[in-house]
Amino acid sequence: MGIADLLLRPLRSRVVTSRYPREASLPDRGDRGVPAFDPITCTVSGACEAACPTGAITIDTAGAGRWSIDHGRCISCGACIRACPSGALRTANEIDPLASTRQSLVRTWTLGTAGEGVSTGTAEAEFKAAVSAKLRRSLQIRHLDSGSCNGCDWEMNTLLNPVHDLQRLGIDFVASPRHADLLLVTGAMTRNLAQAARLTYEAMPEPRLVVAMGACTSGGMFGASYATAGGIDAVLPVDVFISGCPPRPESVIRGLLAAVGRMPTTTTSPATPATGS
Amino acid sequence: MIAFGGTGVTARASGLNTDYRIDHPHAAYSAIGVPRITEHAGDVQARFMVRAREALECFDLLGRVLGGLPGGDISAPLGPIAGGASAIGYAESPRGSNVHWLMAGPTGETIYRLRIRSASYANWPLVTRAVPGNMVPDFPLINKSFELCYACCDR
Repeated sequence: MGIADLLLRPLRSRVVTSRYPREASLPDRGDRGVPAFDPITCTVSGACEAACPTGAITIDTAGAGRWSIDHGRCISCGACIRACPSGALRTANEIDPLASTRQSLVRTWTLGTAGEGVSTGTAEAEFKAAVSAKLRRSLQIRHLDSGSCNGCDWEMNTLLNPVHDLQRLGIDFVASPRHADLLLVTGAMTRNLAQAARLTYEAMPEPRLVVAMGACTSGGMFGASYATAGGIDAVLPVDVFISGCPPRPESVIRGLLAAVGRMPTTTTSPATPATGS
Repeated sequence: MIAFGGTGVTARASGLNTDYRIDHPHAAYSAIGVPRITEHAGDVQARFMVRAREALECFDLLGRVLGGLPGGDISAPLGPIAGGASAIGYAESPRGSNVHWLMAGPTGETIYRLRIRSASYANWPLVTRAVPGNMVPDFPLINKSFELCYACCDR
C-alpha cells in the first residue's frame, strides 16, 4: 500500500464513530459477553457451577431453587455455556452489568420463573445525586492502574480511538489527579499500590468520583491476601463497579455516564438512551 | 545491560541478543524460526527500529503460522495438582521476558503463592541510567521508548 493510499483511506471510509449510547451498539460476532440464563429450561444439573473456574455461579436448591451469578467473578470464559446440558445458558452478547455496590454485582434468578435476574443488595444503583449534578457536563478522568493485567487498560485506550471517541461525550483523560473529577481504577488493588491509590484519590479536588473497571476490581477473584487488599473498595470509596473481563468499551462509557447521572442504571438493557447528554 | 538484567526490545536495542522465543522456545517457536533482530546504539531510535522491524517480522510470522495451524482442542482441563506443588512458566512478551512462578495450596485447588517477574520489573532500573545528561523535554520520549508498565513493579 502506497503512502498516498494510506493518506486517502480516511477520506474514503465512512464515519466509523459509534453513536452509542444514543443508538445501541451490537457486540462483534465472536464476542462472548456475559452468559444469559434461562430459568425455565434449566434442569439444575449443576454442571455450570462445577465448570466455572472462578466460582461465580451458585445454585441454591432450597425451595423453588435459585441460580445466581456474581459478575464480580465472571470472566466471560464461556465454560458454563459449554458445560450446560440443557441449553439454559447461552452467549448473551450483552453489555457487562454495572453496580453501585459490590453486592449488587450478584444477579439471582428463581428457577422456573421467567424474567431478568435481580440483584441482591441495593439493586438500582444509588449513585451520588449531589455529586452527579455538579459533574454532569464535562468530566475529566485520571486512570489509575492498581495492579491490573493491562487488559482493562488496553480497552480503556480504545475509548479515545475514532470508533468510540469518548470526547464526543464531553469526557476526556487528564495527566494529573489534581485536574481530574473521576478516578478510573483497574486491577485487583495490590497491597503495594494501596498507598499510591489513596494518595492519588486525596490529590483530587472535590467533588470526586471513583469508577472501578473490570471484574477483578471487585475483589471477588483475588480477595484479600498477602498480595492484594481485597478489591478497590477496600481502599477507595467506589461509586460504580463495571464488570467484565475486560469490559467492552461501551460498558465503560455506560459506567462513566452512570457515575455522573447521565444514564439510567438498569443493569441489562444495552440500548437505553442517555437522558442528560 | 547484562548487570541490570535488561530484557526484550530494550536489551536487543543495545546489542544483547536475547529472546525467549529463540533461547527457550515453547509451543511451535522452535519450528517456525523467529529471526533475531538487534540494534547496537542503545538509544531511543535503536529501540524504535527494533520495534518497527519486529512488527514487520511478526506479520510475516503470523502469515506463516496461520497457514499451517494444526487441528485439535484449543483448551484442555487441568489434571489433579499435588498440594504444595510449584511450577515456573516463561514467555517473551512485547516488553521482554515474562516469568511466572506459582505454588499450589495444601489441597492443590487454590493458589498459595504467585510471583510475577514482568519485563518492566527488569527494565525500570535502566531508565535511571538512560536519562541523565538529557534535557527535561526528552525525558518522556526516553521513558516511553522503554515502554514500561508502572503497576508491573508493584504487584
